[in-house]
Amino acid sequence: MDATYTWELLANGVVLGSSYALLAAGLAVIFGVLNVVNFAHGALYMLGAFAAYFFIPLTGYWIGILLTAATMAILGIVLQEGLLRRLPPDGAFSRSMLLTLGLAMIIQNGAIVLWGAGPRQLPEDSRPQGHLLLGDVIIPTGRAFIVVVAVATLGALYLLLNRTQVGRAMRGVSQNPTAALVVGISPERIGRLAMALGVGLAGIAGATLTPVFTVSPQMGITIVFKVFAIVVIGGLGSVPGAVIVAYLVGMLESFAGGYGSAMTQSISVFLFMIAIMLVRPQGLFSTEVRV
Amino acid sequence: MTATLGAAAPPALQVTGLGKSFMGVAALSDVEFTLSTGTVLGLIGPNGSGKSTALDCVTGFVRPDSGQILLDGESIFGKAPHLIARAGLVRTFQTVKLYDQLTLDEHMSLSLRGLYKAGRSGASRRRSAERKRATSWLVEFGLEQLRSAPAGILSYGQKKLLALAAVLVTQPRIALLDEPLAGVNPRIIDLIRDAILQANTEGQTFLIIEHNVEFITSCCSEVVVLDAGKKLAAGPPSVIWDDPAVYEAFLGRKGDGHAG
Amino acid sequence: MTAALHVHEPEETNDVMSRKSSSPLHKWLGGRHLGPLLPTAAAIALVPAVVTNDYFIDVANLALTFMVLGTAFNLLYGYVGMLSFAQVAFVGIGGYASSWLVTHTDLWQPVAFLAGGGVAALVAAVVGAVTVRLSEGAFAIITLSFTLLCAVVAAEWTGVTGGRQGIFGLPAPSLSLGPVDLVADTPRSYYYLLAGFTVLALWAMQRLVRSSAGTVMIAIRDNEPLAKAQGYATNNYKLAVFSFCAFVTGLTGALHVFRLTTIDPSIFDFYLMQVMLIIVILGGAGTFWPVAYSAVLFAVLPEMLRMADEARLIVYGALLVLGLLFLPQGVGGFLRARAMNRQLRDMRGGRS
Repeated sequence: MDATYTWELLANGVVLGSSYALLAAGLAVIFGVLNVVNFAHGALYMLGAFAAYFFIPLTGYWIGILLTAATMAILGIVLQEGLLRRLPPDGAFSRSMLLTLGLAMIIQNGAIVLWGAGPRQLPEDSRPQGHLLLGDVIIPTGRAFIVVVAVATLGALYLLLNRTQVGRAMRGVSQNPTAALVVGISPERIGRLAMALGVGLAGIAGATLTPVFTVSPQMGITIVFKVFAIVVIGGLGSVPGAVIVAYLVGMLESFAGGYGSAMTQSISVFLFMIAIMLVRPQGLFSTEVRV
Repeated sequence: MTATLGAAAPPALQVTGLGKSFMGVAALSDVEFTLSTGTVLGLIGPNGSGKSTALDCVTGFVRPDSGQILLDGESIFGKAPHLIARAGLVRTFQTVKLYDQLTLDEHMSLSLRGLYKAGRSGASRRRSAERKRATSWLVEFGLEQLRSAPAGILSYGQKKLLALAAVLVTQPRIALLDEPLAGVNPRIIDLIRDAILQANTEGQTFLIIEHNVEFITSCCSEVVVLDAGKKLAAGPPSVIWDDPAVYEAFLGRKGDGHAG
Repeated sequence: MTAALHVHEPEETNDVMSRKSSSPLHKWLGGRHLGPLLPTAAAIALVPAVVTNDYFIDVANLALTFMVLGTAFNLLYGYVGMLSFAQVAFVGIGGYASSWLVTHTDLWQPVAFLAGGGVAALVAAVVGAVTVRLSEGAFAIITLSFTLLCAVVAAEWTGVTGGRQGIFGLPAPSLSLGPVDLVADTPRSYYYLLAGFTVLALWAMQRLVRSSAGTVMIAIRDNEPLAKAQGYATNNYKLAVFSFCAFVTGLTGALHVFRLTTIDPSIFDFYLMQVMLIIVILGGAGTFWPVAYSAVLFAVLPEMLRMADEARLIVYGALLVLGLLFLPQGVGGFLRARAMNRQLRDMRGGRS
């Protein structure tokens, strides 16, 4: 294997990992703060992709991504206010899971009804042109942008969670729900922010994919498997864990890419997840205290 | 083990060197105490001192980092909670735990079936004796009328009574109670205290976590004082006043921090 | 309140410890808990007499299938509290195992069908051994992943599963009893097969939940730590129920697949799982017969609401969301709470 090829695989791994990281971080935030396993995450990712599909031809790449992020963040707040908040806080954990599943059903099938089941692709002139040259490695611009957007977003997320008061409150809530009340920041505000972030991240992940790949209503279903596995392995509430495992999985997938069929890959990921659960049921990076 | 003159049976419960940390913070360090058969041992200390954690460790709900836990001389360290319960360490929880959808009768029979030595293989005569005992507990606690009602409808005080009844009806080797008096009105406090005293005169061994000083002095033959995860002192309840360090820890700083 | 210390009459309580004495057969069949089973069985038996159109008989076949699938899922989620998305996987595993056995071996058909259930139960035992002890969220995600994995395996493992084409041309189930040849090759004859199976399966599952093991299941659902503190090996119970439900589901899957005479990876699609979910949630998780009847409704509904698959799923999704928000205990739970309130009022009103 010559050096260029290895670098290409590496670059590809970073691209894949970036998408996974955005999605996994969103899931981790929603679970950590709201204790909700968001089964609609894949559907929201797909919505983000479609939103970008409609925005980008009108506004260009960067504005399109920003508009999508904003739209999805608002949608997150709407979902929180309209649906999630109405569940009693001491209610069964499974209720919120099933609620998001119902939501996924509506969004997924709604998309098929509205836009048809077939794949679509942005017209050539709306897509980012050209490619980057890193040494001998050629990276199409669209893919490079995925990494750029992801790194910027995750960096902003890091700053938010670690340097702002409300972010720290969010992390506090994720470890101890009653603590947030003590700090004095309203739990409603934190919940809205968590959903805005979580859904926004999913939306950005979808949006960055639109210019590079095809968009279809089914795209959320195929990726959801991996992202859930990533979050479970990383530890359901841990954002850094999710991001780290996401990039690892991206790398692994890129390097193992040619080797093994889709079946062996899926089996491997599943077995890996089971293995981690055997050794460390709370995930690799979780801060959960398990009894 | 041959009985030689002067050889004593091992104590009911012997804990040494118990340690547990959560995320780098030591909840317990080097805690040790001994519980003799037939005594009521009070585990006391300010909020956050590790009392509930110690109870969780002993009953298997939390895996300790270090230490030795001997029940009648045999190690139960690291065993699963249901096995420890079957071995005779039966507990209540600080947040009262019940089955909301099951009736009071079902609570009692579940408890008996799971824990009582006679168990499910018993003859019908034994089972009817169990039933009688369960009924008398419900009657004593004024719950008999609601025996067919789901436990979810009970008031907080009634729930605590039911949880206690479900433990005592099984006549466990050791009954471990986590703040049995917290949050209930004086009438129920009396019911609970009388039940504990009555059971103790009949030979029931207790380990009780409590804050209620009056209860501790009147019911406990011995106390172990924890503070910030460490054992501060042990002795008769009067140690609360006699030992200035204990006095300060127990009464001086009481009320800071969150539930331990 | 008097302190009269008289032993409470067992018949007056629905206590597990007491069993009203009756004939041994009556007791074994389930005693006074037989309840709606007999009228339901009678109704099931009457359907072929009332329904003449073969097409609607097939709808009834689907209804019977849903009744068993929905009840098995209800056992897992409603009675033990395990939200598992693997039930669909076991339908498929049962279907594929029995299909392969019938088309590739000379195994006696009934055994092949039972083996379908058996393979599903075995797989469940292996997966469950690792996962039933995990948190609710992890368990849900892993069972979901497992189903997705099965879909991929079914599509790729062409040698065994027939790949994306699947296995088709499955023979009609047949049984030779001496001179009589029973063949289920028409919707009507298949109905008799399914009807017998459904009544049997429902009886078995009801027997389980009304037994003392069933009470432990509910205890695990309501408060697992307390169940452990009361000496119950909760993970063993969960694993046992998980495997048992997989067996029933796998066997149902086999019967379902042979009725369609074909199986392909689409059996692992989310559609079935979403139907099972909505049957249990709207019927009332943890209530037995309302869920069984809810299953019939959702088998028949698509026929009454003729709409595209996607539109129907949007309706189901909306029903699920609305149900969870406003009637989380389902119709069955609502009815039960109402009956309970009435009973409590009587209890408190006067010494009964």
